[in-house]
Amino acid sequence: MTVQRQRLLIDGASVPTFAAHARLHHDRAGQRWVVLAPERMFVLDEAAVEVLQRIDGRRSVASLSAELADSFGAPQAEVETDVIGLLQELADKMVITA
Amino acid sequence: MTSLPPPLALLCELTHRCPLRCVYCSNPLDLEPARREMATREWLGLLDQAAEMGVLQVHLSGGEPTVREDLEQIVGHAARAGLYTNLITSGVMADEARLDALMEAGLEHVQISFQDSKAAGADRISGYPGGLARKLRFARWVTERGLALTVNAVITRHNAARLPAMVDLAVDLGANRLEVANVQYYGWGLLNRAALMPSRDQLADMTEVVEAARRRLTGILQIDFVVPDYYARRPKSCMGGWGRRFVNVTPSGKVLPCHAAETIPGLRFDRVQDRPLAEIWTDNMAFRRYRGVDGLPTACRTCPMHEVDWGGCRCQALALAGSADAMDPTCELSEHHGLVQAMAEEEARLSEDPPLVYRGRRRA
Repeated sequence: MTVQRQRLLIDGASVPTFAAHARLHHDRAGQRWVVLAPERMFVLDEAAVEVLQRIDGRRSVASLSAELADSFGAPQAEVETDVIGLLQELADKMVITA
Repeated sequence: MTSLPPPLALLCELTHRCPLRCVYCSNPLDLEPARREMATREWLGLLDQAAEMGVLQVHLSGGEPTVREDLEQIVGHAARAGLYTNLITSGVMADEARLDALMEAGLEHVQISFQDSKAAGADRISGYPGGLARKLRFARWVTERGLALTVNAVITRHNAARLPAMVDLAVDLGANRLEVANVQYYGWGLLNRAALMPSRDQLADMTEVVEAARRRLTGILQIDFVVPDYYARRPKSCMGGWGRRFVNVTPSGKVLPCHAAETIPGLRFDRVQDRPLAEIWTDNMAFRRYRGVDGLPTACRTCPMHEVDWGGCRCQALALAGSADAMDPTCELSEHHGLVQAMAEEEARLSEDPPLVYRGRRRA
């Protein structure tokens, strides 16, 4: 059995994916995007939705940050810092793995 | 009430049957017999309605849900409807093949209750000898398959000192989440309260253990801490507010705002078989009775905390203050607050435990 016994630290090279028990879900009734996890629901702001919709288990943080920076005309370094912050928070909540 | 948001989660008490006889069980004292349980198609219909309303999560519970032979069908139906499916189980009944079938059906998460880290303590609280070893085995099957596991560590004064061992147990099992769940005193738990209540010192020790474990295990184990609210200054936000986030369906199909709601006299509940779930949610008198600010006791309505704790728990107000319309006495603003704390402290100090009453069918 291999169980992750260390805190995951996110950086630009990390390739994030959703933990097996967490998923992005469109809440029709609430007209919002949420992450569903055990006994929990995380309501996402627009920026978080943009990040999480790009997570596919293949692309790195740097790659999806570059795309976001391009789409929104923002400096890539700044975007990447924000993306790492968001994903670290979700990794600490056991929602994101890499 | 057309703008009333749907519940976030549906709790299906598929059955009240259970091989365990836990003395803290929050099921009602009058357990529903197997012959009154809803048929498969009725549960499937309920899940369709819930998904249609916008419910996001379904908790399959009981009793012991794996007693139902149609559990795979129910899980599969919920998963296909897009509902996040969580199985709340004792873990003593299902074998590996059953777990595989449940995963195949789309199960997303398993929660297993642990009564102690030591067999003798677990046997005493659950009334099921040998349960701990079976639970550990089942929990390993869950994590070996990469399925998410929550360890629900049920805390009383008898095992509070072994909380560090239960944290270690959750880590060893590869759980993602640990609920340090102090018993909430409803149903059988209320009946046995004097034999279970921890002391204030034990609560302080637990708090320290939880805080240290959270620091040490960030990103490894998510820890939720449910405190014994008799020692709190403010009441818990029971169910996130009456009729706001949760809907509970009993084995026979009664739709309740919470699992203890039937203890409140004068409430009339509808059945899934008789009325659409969406209509019950918005219009049933029991849901309307205590929903929102208007349903709160007068003193709570003007309290700045009223949308934080939603006046606490109506069932606890009934159990401790004698009326579901009273303030929850776990709130320090209640006139009964001092008495409730003194009672808890006194119960925790009992030199000899009152005899435990084990959960089971009672003959009138």
